[in-house]
Formats: sequence, structure tokens, C-alpha cells
Amino acid sequence: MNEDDPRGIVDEDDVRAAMRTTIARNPAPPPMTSASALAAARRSARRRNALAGAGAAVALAAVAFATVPLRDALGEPPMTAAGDGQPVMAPSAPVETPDPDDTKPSWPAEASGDATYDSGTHYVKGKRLLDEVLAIVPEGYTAPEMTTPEGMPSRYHQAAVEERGTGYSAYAFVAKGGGTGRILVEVRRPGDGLPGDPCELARSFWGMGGVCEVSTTGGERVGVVKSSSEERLDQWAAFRHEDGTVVFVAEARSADPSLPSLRDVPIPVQKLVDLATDERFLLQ
Amino acid sequence: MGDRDEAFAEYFAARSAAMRSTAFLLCGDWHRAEDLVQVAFTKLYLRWNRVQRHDTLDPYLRKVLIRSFIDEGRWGWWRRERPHDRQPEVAAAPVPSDDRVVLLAALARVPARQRAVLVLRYWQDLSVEETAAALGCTAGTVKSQAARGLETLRALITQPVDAR
Repeated sequence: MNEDDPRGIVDEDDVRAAMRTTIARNPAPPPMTSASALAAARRSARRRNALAGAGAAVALAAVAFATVPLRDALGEPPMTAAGDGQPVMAPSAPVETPDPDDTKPSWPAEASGDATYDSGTHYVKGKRLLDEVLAIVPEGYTAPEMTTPEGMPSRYHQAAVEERGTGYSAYAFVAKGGGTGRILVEVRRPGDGLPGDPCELARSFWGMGGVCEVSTTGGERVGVVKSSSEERLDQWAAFRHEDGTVVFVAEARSADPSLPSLRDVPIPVQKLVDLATDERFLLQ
Repeated sequence: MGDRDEAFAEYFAARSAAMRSTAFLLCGDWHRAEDLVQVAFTKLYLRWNRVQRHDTLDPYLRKVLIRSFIDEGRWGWWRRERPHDRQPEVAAAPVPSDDRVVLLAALARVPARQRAVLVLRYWQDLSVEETAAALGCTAGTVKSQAARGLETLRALITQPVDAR
């Protein structure tokens, strides 16, 4: 095929040529500067140290005279965790005063470089969603606090600016019998523009599609996807509450490639359905 | 500027453009691509002392970039950008024929992991083993995902493109 023409992809060389053409014909914005990237990275480091201050105060109040003599496996200073599970430096680490910009409501979140809230009401609701996720961890499972080798936290929450309004999501790793999976809940506010049909709604989740069926609980109709070609999640339920809020409750046997998977999904399908309709996720 | 900052700035100047192009092929949007690159470099900065050897910087950065892209739980912007994109098995409409968007539009309909495999294998020209390391999977999975990704692209890119 003509190597500039992406229409006739036949083999690997065609894909290479099409990618080169695509990059060449989609002019890039001006180069990113080292200075701004470094500034953002340093803000992130500063924030982590600032969190260490809060973590240190809590730790010192709770465990008077306790010492943390160990270093972690990678030879880094000992780590502890703030209330939301974010890894922070232990009390012995140097602590910087947080920037004023770190404590006021902001959007977009310049420091983290994405469209998530770093503070304020929405941030707090995202954090609360994580609490709710932890509250639904099934009996017999633990919710470990850790960070994967790639830096992914085992517990995470966010409030993000969506195309229409705000969306909240939170997940927690769940472990049992040497395996680790993941439970995730996403909440979208009314006016989200998502489909009304339960199965269309469920299939729209992250654009993953999948084979869906409608389940009922308490007279409510919930879309459930139990199989899809996606590897990120194994099954999920979707429900639009009376006030228009959409709740997705999802689970995966695998939390991260670096960790062994669970033998089975942690939450039975019917429980997923019940949870999708649970008003706790309305975050009111 | 400290040693770490200076080394980081140099490395960023050398590698950010290539990483941004990779991210663009993954997500189809330059601004989002820059978000991904910034996230990846920030994580690298935070772990700079753990990733000291220069020959391990690229694989680490690549792995973070790919993971950030794939993990929709953390980075949901791709789906926010196209919340109603349908997957290949349910997509009925052909890809737009605009030659500047045809590949991007097709890639957008390839599942995330397959897309990542295609970009790593055929844009970054990584070996099967290097791609497997970046994705945290086996070489066999990379091969099968690449084959499926190519198959999906072939099925999607069917319309003629106007000559320029």
C-alpha cells in the first residue's frame, strides 16, 4: 500500500507507516518545557512532604514515643499512610510548609496535571466515596494499603470534571488467600448525558461494551455486564437513581499485573446489583 | 538547581517529545497526551533516586505512561472525551475517512490494551519482550493482542481516503 495512506492496513509495516503519517499530519503544540515539567514535579514532591506533616502529627498523637526504625525494602525512608491511604514520609522526614495553593479549592488541578479536584467540596465527596467503597469490602477480604511497583496506590479516590458536571470515583484493592482484586465505584451526577436504558448505561461504562442483562432488585432495573473483552474489570452493575445520579459498581479479580489475582470476583452479581441501587453512593 | 533537578530537566528535554507522540497515538489528543506525559515524568521525579540507572529510565517512564493510560480508574479522561464510543464488536458505523483522523479514530475503537500493544510495537518499535515488560504481561499475550489489534484495525479502516 501507499505508506502515507492509512486506509489499507494489511500488516505491521502498514501500521508503522500509518502511525508516522498520523503524527506528521497532526501538528504538535509547542514542545513541553523542562522548567514547567520540573516545577510541576517539585510541587508534587512538596505536597507529599506536606502530607507527611499531617501524617506525622496524627502518628505522634496516636502513638506517643513510638519509633519507626525500619527502612522499607527499597532502602527508602520509612513510609506511613495518611487517612486516605496516600503514602507519606514518616515523621523523621523533613517537612515543608504547604503552599497556599495546595489548600484552596482549585480546578483544573494544576499540581496534579489533570482535571481532578485537589481540594474543596468535590474533593471531599470523592474521599467519602472511598470510605463507602471500603465499607463494602466483603467479609473475609482485606483492603491492603500499599503501592504497586509502578506507583499505583491500592486505595484511590478522585472527583473529576466530566463533560457535564462532576464525577466521583474510588477504588480499593481487596485481598484474600494470596490474591488481590479490585472494587471500584463511580458516581455521575444528574445531567451526565449517559443513556437511560439500563443495559446501554452499563455498556457505556468506560466505553467497554460487553454482554449485558437487566437484573431487578427492589423493583429497580439494573444493567449488569458479566463479560466483556476488557481486561480492566470483570463485571459491573449500572443504575440511574430517581434523582438522576448514575452509580457504577465494578469489580475485578486482578488489581495489578504485579500481584496475583483473586480466584474469583469478590462480590456476587446480585450483591453488585443491590449495591448499585444503594443510596449510600448518592453521597448526600 | 540540585543534581536531581538538573538531571531530570535534561532527561525531560531529551525524551518528552517522543513520549508525547506515543501518548498522542494512545489517546488521540495532544493536550491529553501532555497530561499523560506530565504525570509519567512527575512519578519518575518522585522515584528518581530509585531509578538511577539511565538504561532503566526509559522502560520505567514507558511503563508508567502506559499504565496511566490503561488504568481508567485513575485516569478517566479518555472515556470522558468520548463517553459513548462503542467497542469494535458493537460498532456499526465505519471510521471517518478524513486522512488525518482515520487511524486515530480506528485506534480509539481498539480496546486499550490492544491499542497500547500496537503503539509500543509499531510506533516505538519495541520487541515483543520489551512490550510485555511495559504492560506487565507475557510475550504470548503481546503477540495475541497485537494480532487482535491488527485485525480490528483492518476491519475498521475500510473507507477510501482522499488524496492530498
